[in-house]
Amino acid sequence: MKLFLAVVLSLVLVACATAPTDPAQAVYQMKSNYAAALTVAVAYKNLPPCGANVTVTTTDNVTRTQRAILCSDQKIVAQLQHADDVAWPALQAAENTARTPGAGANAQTAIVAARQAVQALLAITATLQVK
Amino acid sequence: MNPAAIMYALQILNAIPQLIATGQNVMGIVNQGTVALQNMIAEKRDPSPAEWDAINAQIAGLRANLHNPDVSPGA
Repeated sequence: MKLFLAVVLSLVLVACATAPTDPAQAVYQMKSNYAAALTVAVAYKNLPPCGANVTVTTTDNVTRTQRAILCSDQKIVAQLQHADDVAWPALQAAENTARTPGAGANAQTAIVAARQAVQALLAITATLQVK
Repeated sequence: MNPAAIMYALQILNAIPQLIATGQNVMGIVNQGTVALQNMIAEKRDPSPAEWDAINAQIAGLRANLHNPDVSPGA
């Protein structure tokens, strides 16, 4: 499972192979990568919480309740939510600046700030593993 | 194999379709973003308002899910 998530996140890095030529394109690319990372974060969050029980039914209708073995750690979910709370305003600010004509150096500053915030979320999603 | 082990194996098997769907979603987003960016570069232009709106709406939906405590686990 850990390998699967790592493979999924590696796709995000592949997406970086296309180099944007101006600030607006750079912010758009960051947002696209961010959406991909959020997809992984949401999938992790939607797993049953660790410690919870799940009901499993076999094809011959034998049902058993057991501890979830594919589960999400609620502390990690909180970290993902916090990273998103930090990254999203930075991304929005970068978009607003990049879409402002003549933003120049301000756009570069906003992009650097947004990139750092996005990296924080990517760093967490890259280490996700299903317990 | 004892029944508990079979049930644990079933738990993992039941999760595989969701993991595959997640992978496909991520691939779709990555491909979509790459194609859009390549078009922008080829056409020497910035993202259009519609392209900004689309990516922002996509992220808004994901953020709502990430922060929504009412989304049932396993959904």
